Parts: sequence; structure tokens; C-alpha cells
Amino acid sequence: MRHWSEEDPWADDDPGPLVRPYTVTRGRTSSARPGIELISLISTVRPPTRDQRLQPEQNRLLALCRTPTALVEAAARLDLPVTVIRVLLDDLLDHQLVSVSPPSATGTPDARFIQAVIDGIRRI
Amino acid sequence: MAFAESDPGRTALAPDAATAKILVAGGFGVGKTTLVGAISETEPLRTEELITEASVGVDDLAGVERKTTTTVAMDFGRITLSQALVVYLFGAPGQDRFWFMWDDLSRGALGAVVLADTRRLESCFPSVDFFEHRGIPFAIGVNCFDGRCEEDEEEIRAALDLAPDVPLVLCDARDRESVKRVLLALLEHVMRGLAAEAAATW
Repeated sequence: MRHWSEEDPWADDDPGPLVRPYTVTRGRTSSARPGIELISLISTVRPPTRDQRLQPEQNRLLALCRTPTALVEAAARLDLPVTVIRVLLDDLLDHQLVSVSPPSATGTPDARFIQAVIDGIRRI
Repeated sequence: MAFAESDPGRTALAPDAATAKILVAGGFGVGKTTLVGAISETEPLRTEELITEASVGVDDLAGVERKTTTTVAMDFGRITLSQALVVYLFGAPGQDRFWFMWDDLSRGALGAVVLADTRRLESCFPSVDFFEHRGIPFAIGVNCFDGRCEEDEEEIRAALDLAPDVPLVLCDARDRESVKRVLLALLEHVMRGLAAEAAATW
């Protein structure tokens, strides 16, 4: 007996990470929290308590963000889409296990800020 | 692609560090990821986003009931300037059908480097149009492969129909110092723009 997917002309040979990431999010595909940008920094505030039952991916995110890490970098390092990290973050923020840098920290282009970037790049 | 989850070599950022974003645009295969890699303190990182059929837009899906998804890859790198300041460089997908992603990506960006290859200059026209229309400051980096930089700047300017204030820098996308010069040309252009804006306001 053939598996149903073998008869499906639309089935991809390599469906890639289609199912798994959104299993991680229990089907949620978007986060209600505005103001979290690709370059917002996520920082772990404290470890979860015993009764906070997190998913393995959330634990990995907490471990990674002990060093403050941008949303997009967390996605790349955990090999999950940005949208999935956003959803995982929702729970962690609800439990106050992480903080996210405010939108004002993500590159407001005023002269002092640009000058700091120029000086920094000259130095490296 | 496997990445280590810890990265002991990096400067630890403060949780409230300021983050900046610079885009790297240009046609397919022009060297965007090479440029990012030349200056990033990490190997270029990649994140893949799943885009549903509805967002893709230009694909002709008439009569096709089933939803399809497309994966769009974004390569990026990080430059930690201090504990309080980090710059992310994003090399974004160059194909026309992914332009919708650019609105998201360019929000909050300081500006963009448009990487050009003189052998197919036209491949960077869409990027130039995009940033011009949205008023996002940009600089052109002309990638001179194999150190071959005999191009005439004025000819390239004319071909791209660039405004006189847009910086154009001949560069080697593999060379860190060369990439620094392109980024500085862009940022100094952004500064001049802010100064002009302030002068107009007062």
C-alpha cells in the first residue's frame, strides 16, 4: 500500500520545514505584539520556574538569549522562521522570562546615532 | 545549515543596546552575501521565511486551488561596534517577485548599498528605483571583480541616471577595507541628508 503522499502530484520531494515550525507554535502563525523588529534585541531575564512548562524551542531561545540576540539572528541560529520566533516570544514575554529592546533602540536615524555608527565603523 | 548556539568570541551586547540596519541590494549573483561576509564578524547567517501564495502576488496561480508556499532566504551579518551599538547588514532577495519583502526590511533602515556589476548594470535598476521612490538614502558600490576597476564612474552614473549627490564607490566586495569605504560613503551621505533636512526646517 502506498502512502497517500506518494500519489499526491503536489507533494514536494522535500517539503522542508513546513509542518514542524507551526507545530512548535501550536498552529499560531502570528503574534499580536507590535513593535518587535527584525533587529530588536531579545534578552533572557531569568530561567523558567519548574511549573512553567516550555517547549524545547523556547528553552533553546532562552539559552541563546542569555547573550542579547536580535530576533532575526535568533531565527537563523535556531533554524526557525522569524514568524515562529515571534510566536514563541509571546509566551516568554507573558511569563516575563525575556525582555525585548524598545522600538526606539532600533536605529532612529538622528545625527548623533549615525555619527556613532560612522565612528564605530572607522574604528573596526 | 547548522549553527552553534553559543558564540563565545563575540562582544556581549547590553540588553538595551541600540541596533541599526543597513540593506545590501542588487541583482542576483552580484556579490551581496560576499559583501556582507567581508565585514560581518560572523559567517553570513541565513534565515528562511515561508511566504504563502497570496503574498507572492505575481505568480500566476489562476485556477490553482491549492495553497503554495515559497521560501525566501535572507542573508545577514553582524558588526558589533560596542556593547551599546550593533549594526546588522541585510542582503535581501533580489528577484522581482520578492519586492514586497523590501518594505518590511527597509523600515527603520539607515540606508542601503546597491551593489552593481558593470557587466550587467541593468540588474541593479530595480533596486535603485525602489530606494529612490521611497526616499531611502542609498549609495552605489560598483563591484570590481578580480581587482579590475577600469570602469568610468561618469558613464556608470549616466547609465543609472543617478542624482549628483548619490555616492558611487568602486569596490571589491571581498575586501573588508573596501566594504568599509562603501558603508562610510553611504553613512556620510545619510548625514548630509539629515543636515540638509535640518537646514530646510529652520
